[in-house]
Amino acid sequence: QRIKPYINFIANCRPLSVSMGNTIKFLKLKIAEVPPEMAEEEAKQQLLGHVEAFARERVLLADEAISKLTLSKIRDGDVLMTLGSSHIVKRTIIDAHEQGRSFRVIIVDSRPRHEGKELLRKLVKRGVRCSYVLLNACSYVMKEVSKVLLGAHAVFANGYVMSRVGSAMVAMLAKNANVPVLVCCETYKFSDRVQTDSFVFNELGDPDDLVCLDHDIR
Amino acid sequence: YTLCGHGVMMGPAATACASNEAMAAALEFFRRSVKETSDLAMALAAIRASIKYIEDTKATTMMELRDDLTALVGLLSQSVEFSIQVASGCDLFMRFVTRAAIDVPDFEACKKLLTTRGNKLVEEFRASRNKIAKLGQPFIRDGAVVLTHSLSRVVLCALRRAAADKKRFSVFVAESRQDGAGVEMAEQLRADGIAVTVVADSAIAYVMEAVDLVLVGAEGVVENGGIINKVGTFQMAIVAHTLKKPFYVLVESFKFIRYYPLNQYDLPSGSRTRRSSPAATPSSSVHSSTTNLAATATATATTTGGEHAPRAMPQLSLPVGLSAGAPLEAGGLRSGRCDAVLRESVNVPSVVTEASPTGDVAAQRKIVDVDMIAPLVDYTPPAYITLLFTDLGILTPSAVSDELIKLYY
Repeated sequence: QRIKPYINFIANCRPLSVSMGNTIKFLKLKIAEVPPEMAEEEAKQQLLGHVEAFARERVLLADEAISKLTLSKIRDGDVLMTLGSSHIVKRTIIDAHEQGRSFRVIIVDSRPRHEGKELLRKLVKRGVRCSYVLLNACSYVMKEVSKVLLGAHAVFANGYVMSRVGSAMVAMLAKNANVPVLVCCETYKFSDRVQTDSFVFNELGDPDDLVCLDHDIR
Repeated sequence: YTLCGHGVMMGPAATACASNEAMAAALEFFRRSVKETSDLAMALAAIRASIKYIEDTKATTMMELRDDLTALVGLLSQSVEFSIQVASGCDLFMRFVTRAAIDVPDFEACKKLLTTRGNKLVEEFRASRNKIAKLGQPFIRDGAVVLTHSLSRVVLCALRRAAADKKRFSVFVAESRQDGAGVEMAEQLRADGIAVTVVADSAIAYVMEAVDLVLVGAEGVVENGGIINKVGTFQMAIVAHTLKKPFYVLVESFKFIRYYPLNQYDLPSGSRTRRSSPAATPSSSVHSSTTNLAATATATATTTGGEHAPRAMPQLSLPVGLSAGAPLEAGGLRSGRCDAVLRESVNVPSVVTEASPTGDVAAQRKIVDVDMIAPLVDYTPPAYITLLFTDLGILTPSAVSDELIKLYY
């Protein structure tokens, strides 16, 4: 019960996501597994060890492993498309570029956050050939694309993927054009939930970011 | 996994290892096995060669043995055209080697265990062909018309068994250029008294209406349940799917590979396009065999009726060339997919010779400098496959990944 206020605090910073939920479940499980006769100091050390191992293996090493695996699918001459900015897709692209593969990237972006701009900046700095389009141009460029790389927020028990808004659209367009869609997702984001649409559980942003009606538009 | 991913890059290391006597002996053993026992699947020959190496090796630790075996597999893969089988079979064996190493720490005892169990593995795999043939029997009913592609020993085994059970059925075999392996399959079937007709590759859609089921073998089965097989299989699968005919694959479990192709041009290395050498015998044997079969086909009783025998195939000397097309740019607005096909090809000028339709050899036209691609294998996605008959049972394509996980873990 002691950790409840901390969890509430985290939930207040940012609504509890699937990955956050899984991590908290993991911690609670480890706490429950501590034998009652163990000394407090020792128990704390053990728990800290578990937490660090989780962070190291399930998050950091996982990213490395996924990047390596995805790299094997990137061929010379590929045209990769990605949506917004996913750290694992960014890592894969940079690793592939450093390995000397020759390919180019099309970044699809959307309002209001324009997260793709950040990815664009980072990739261009590394020397990757990039193009930048908004979501409405996605079908226009799709015929040049050879693979779509997406990140994920969560993967559900029925294989459905929850990701940044717009991913479903990109994936559908890709399917229509016979372009393979590869989703990169660490296993700590896997959820035993089943969701068949996007309404039932979601996070909302600030509507004013999209259309601000407060001041005079003229 | 590295064996199937990008192949094992073995250049300089291979030559160093080949100087190792035991390894050279194993390689020689492999070559001989493949040549002499045409009945033996290549993967089994590779495993046998690995076992022989284990028996002869002067290695003293497990790590050394494992590294040597990996190098040996690389050598074997390089010495054959289709190395997927070699890679997949040996991958399974290597898993087994690793597990044995953990279970039995004493090196000599481990070696002995590896050889005995390895031989048992080979025996199990050998028996798999018969198991599969048995599983397929209820699907070949009396009066059935079977369509098959190229030469598959497993399909041959199944059909022979059906014939031995006194079932009446007839077979169409696609000729499967460029090496005309389908003709050889037809000859083997005919030797067993099975009613068989060779079908031109382009006539597969033409005969499909009359067919009851399609049976093919496979070079490899990939993670999503799709198969890699002689080129033309995918075409056959699409036509069968459109005309609602069941498409069955007969394949042994040691051909399951841990690979997921994204499209036709994303196949494991060791399975790609290679040009057929013009000096090889196939062109002459195709000609002679087809004329024989064309003659006998008219006399063969088929239950389809109304099917006339295929005409004698025009003699086609092996087209050699594959084109490289324009220099590839990674950029530009051109689709990367066109490049993907051309990139895999090798630039060799080709000469295509064509006989006139009447088969008159004297009236040959010579077309020079026409580029041509002639891949050896293609990938059939799981959506077009009805069932896979394996020694692990009859599987739907979606069950393959489950079985793969069980096999490898």
